[in-house]
Amino acid sequence: MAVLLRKLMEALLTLICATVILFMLIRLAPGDPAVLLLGQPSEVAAMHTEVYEQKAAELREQWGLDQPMAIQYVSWLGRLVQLDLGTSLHTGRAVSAELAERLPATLQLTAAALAVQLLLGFWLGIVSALKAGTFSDQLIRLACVTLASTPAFVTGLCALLLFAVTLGAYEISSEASWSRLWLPALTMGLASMPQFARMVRANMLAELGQTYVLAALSRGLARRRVIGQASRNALLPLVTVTALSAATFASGAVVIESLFAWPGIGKYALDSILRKDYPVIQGYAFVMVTLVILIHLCVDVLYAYIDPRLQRKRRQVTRGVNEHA
Amino acid sequence: MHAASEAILIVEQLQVSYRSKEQARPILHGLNLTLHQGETVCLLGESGSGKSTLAKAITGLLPPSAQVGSGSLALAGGIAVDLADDNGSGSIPWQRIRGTELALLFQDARQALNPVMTIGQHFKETLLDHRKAKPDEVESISCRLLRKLGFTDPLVLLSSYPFQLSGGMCQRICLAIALCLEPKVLIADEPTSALDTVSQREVLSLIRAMQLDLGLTVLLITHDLAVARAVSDRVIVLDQGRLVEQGSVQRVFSQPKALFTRQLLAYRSQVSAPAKLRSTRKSSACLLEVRRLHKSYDANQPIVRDASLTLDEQEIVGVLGQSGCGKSTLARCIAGLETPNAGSILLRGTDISGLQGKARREICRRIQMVFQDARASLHPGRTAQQLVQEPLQYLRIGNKQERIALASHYLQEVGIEGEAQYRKPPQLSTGQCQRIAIARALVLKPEVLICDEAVSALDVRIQAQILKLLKRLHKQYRFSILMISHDVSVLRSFCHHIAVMSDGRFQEGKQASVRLHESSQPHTQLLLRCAGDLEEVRI
Repeated sequence: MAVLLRKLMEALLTLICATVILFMLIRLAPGDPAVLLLGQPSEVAAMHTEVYEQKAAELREQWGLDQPMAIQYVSWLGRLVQLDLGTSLHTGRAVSAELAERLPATLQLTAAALAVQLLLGFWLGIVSALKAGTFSDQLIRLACVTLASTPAFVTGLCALLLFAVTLGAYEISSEASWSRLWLPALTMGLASMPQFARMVRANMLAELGQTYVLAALSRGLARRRVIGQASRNALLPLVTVTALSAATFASGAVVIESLFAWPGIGKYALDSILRKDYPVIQGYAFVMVTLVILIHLCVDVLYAYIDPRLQRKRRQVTRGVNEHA
Repeated sequence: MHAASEAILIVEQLQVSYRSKEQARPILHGLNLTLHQGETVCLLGESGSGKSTLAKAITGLLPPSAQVGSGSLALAGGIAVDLADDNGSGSIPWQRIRGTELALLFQDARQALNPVMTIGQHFKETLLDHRKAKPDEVESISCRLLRKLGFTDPLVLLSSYPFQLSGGMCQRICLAIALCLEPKVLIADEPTSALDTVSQREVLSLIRAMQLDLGLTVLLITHDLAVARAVSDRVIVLDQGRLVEQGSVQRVFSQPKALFTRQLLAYRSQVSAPAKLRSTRKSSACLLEVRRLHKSYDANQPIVRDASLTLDEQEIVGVLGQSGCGKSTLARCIAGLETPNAGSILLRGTDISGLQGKARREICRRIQMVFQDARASLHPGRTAQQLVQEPLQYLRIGNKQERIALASHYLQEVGIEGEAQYRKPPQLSTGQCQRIAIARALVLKPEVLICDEAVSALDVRIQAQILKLLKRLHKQYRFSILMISHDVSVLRSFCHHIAVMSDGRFQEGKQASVRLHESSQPHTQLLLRCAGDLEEVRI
């Protein structure tokens, strides 16, 4: 329990550090948001310079942009706690509402991509470990290297060309529906599958070389059962890798979402960055940081449950032994 | 004595070789072996003689790189297996033979158990997979067996994981799991080599007791003559994949016929001969003093507590203790690999326990260490020459030519000559690796040499050679040696004084090794008795 509390404190500290960095980075970027919102003075020919300046000053006051950095940060943090991420400069709607609309689509895509990566990577990894050195192993290796060295947007474009244009099996639109999920999920999952499969293979080979595998076989246990045990142990260390991919998927969905016109928060964030929409960018980054920290917290807790060695390390069993006669 | 009883396992013409890239390396050359009902047969041989390959071959557990040229296995009940058949055992699946006909015990018992499964789960899967019990009977069967093997509280064990148990306990549990299928033949591959003397005796006497109780036939594979002598009815001596001698244990040990067996016995008596060390030291100035040393990684479980020891100039002191008693941690503290929590280590009167940086380096020159696993303590990608030059480079001693000359000199001293100086550890034998490790330690002309179980992992022949080498070098270069071991006989033949450690403390301050048997300390008595049991008495 104390460990869990410490992990929570650590997570909170990380989160606070992240908000400071995040706040500073964006405020210190070149460009005046008020000017951006109103448009460049040269472009607004109809407006007098004085009126323009007055409007801009009003806007700065309204958004608190003219206050010192520290105060801006504190008031921002205060609203953050109440999940008020501010109002989008562009649309004028609450950022939290805008993000909440789009988050499910991204999570849906992430989960599906993760499933592709895990299932395919696990299967290919185990098969190539069991058939190490054979033709199938070489073939899987070749496929993995090819996939790993192709950028996701290239794979995605090829997939779109093939399934949407040539075969017409994929509908091009901009809505998040289950029927449109499989292609972006496949593209995303395939991009990170190779390294996962290689790690599964390496871990599995190491486990198969362990004495307990021989010992289990020597007790006459079915080969399939022994392989099952070994693969479970081979997968234990990969939970961290899976968490990392989940985080990468969620935050790195920008490219795939743009490519497939998937209405997730990645695409939304990209648009907002181009518009210098500070509240949205901050809000997006905050959500992502929180998500990543949460995922890692879950992994830490999960480990304690799935690997008995971590929770019981300290307890040595000495009872049940007879005294040396 | 068992000649009349029926043969229960017959191996004929077993030929196994290992394929590497260039050629096939033969391991077993047409071996024939017969086991009779109820006897204990010891398969004695050095490492690399093919004895483990035999165990794996007759259970069908050889790695893919191994190739069985020919060989057949016949078991009681008319089971015949063609071992050369690549598709496993042909008509009878291995699953039906393994476990129920042949059970196997491994050297490192803790590694032989799945680290994330409880002991109870091991029993459960074994019993249920063979349909030897119904799910609700599993617990009672396993408890009964564990009690039989001397565990008083089996329920606690069933819910424990292997990493919570000691090596000796794990081996007894492995034995229990093997026995729960009621096998006819138990093949034990070095079951006690990784254990200290006390646990060793325990496991061996249990195997013996179970054998008498259940009428098991046991094939005990070992390199340890004492073990073979203590528990076997019949001994088979294996040398480089060939059977060189077999006969009753009394005959083989009293009148060995084969040259190899005679040599093996001669080496053993060399190693365990009582010390005839005269103190040639003129002065007995104290060189190293450990004062009330305390080391713990976890406040509740101190590893070393309140340990005090002195080492005089040119003296050889042995530290005797069971595994886990803290003797290696003590050695690591003295060598500066660990920082003690309290206490001091004085080298010629100066405290060296908390030194850092440059001062620490200077101590490196004066205290050197040789480790148990010689091969693992050497960088696999460097030649013997480079390995011995390494400490000289680190401490910036001499120029390049001088370093090469020094390294060659010490390598010659330890018997690594000519072209062998330019080979890398993987191309050298374990004995040669240990020689290089000794040369690497001595090239700095240290005042203290710490040997942490430096000969424990070696075959008796190599053990005798290394001990002889150390004695010669000690005489020539006049350094002091701190010898850490669990082997009473090695220490008694090698050290001037022996101190006994248990539970992180010195139960007994150092005393002349010839007087060790007069000790009244119960722990010393226990260690001596266990060693003695293995040496002389048949369990």
